[in-house]
Amino acid sequence: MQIPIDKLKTMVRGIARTQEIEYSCDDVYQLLDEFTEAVAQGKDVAKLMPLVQQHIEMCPDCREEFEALLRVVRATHPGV
Amino acid sequence: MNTRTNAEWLADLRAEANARAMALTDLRAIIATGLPYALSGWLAPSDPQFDALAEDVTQETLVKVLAHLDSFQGRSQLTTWVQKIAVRVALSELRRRRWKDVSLDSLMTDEGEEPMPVTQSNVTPDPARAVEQSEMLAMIQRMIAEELTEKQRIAIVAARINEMPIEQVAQQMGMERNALYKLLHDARVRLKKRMEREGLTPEEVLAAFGSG
Repeated sequence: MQIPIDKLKTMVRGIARTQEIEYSCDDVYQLLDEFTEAVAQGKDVAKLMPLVQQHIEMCPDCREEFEALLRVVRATHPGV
Repeated sequence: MNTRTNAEWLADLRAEANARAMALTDLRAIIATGLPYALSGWLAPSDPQFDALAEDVTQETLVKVLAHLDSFQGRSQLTTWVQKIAVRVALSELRRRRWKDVSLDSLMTDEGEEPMPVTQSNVTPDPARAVEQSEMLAMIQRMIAEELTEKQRIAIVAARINEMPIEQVAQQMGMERNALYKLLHDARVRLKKRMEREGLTPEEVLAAFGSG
């Protein structure tokens, strides 16, 4: 198994953003509805919920779920 | 349909007979409205598999909603909480379908004596730079070999190099997704500390291979 250069760079960027303490997928799932509504409302989530924001940047599965939920919230709760 | 407050939803979903049945019917419609947006880029509503998947997802979501109603903390709209559950159920199923024929073994087959050699096909023709790059690659390979466990290397190859969803990697490794994230996190922490000890910054590595 070889590491293509672009994947290596992605890995190194991930290492650069690594924190000693990070939320797990379960922690993020607990807060994902609240976080997504906050994003839809245009709130500064990087400041309000930085650990959720950081996990979503690091974890592709949680990021996909966040993006899917955001599409739903934006389409069905325009007032949120 | 979506005019109940959270308190009204909870009261109806906990009620007997009619009120509960009506609330579930309304939730079913709310999930059905959301799914095409949730699955955008995954599965089009015109796909022959869409309706059956939507029905299964709705059913499983409603079962989970009723089972976990007490865990809803009211920090979002209840309908957003329900949609979150539907998204998890739907994407888990689609990931499972997409990756069901890919085994971790098949991703690791050409692993030689050197754990995870980095391909050098894209390296620069500039000789001075090429030396710098190959030294850096050798250092990174050594760190990976010395710092990470076998499990961590397998997880990185599958999840980071082959972009297998961590949910699928976890399943094949007999772990929970949560535990796999922690395994990967621990690997990143180890590599970060090792790089610090070696005096190598991520910025230097990225600069050596060019931006982009």
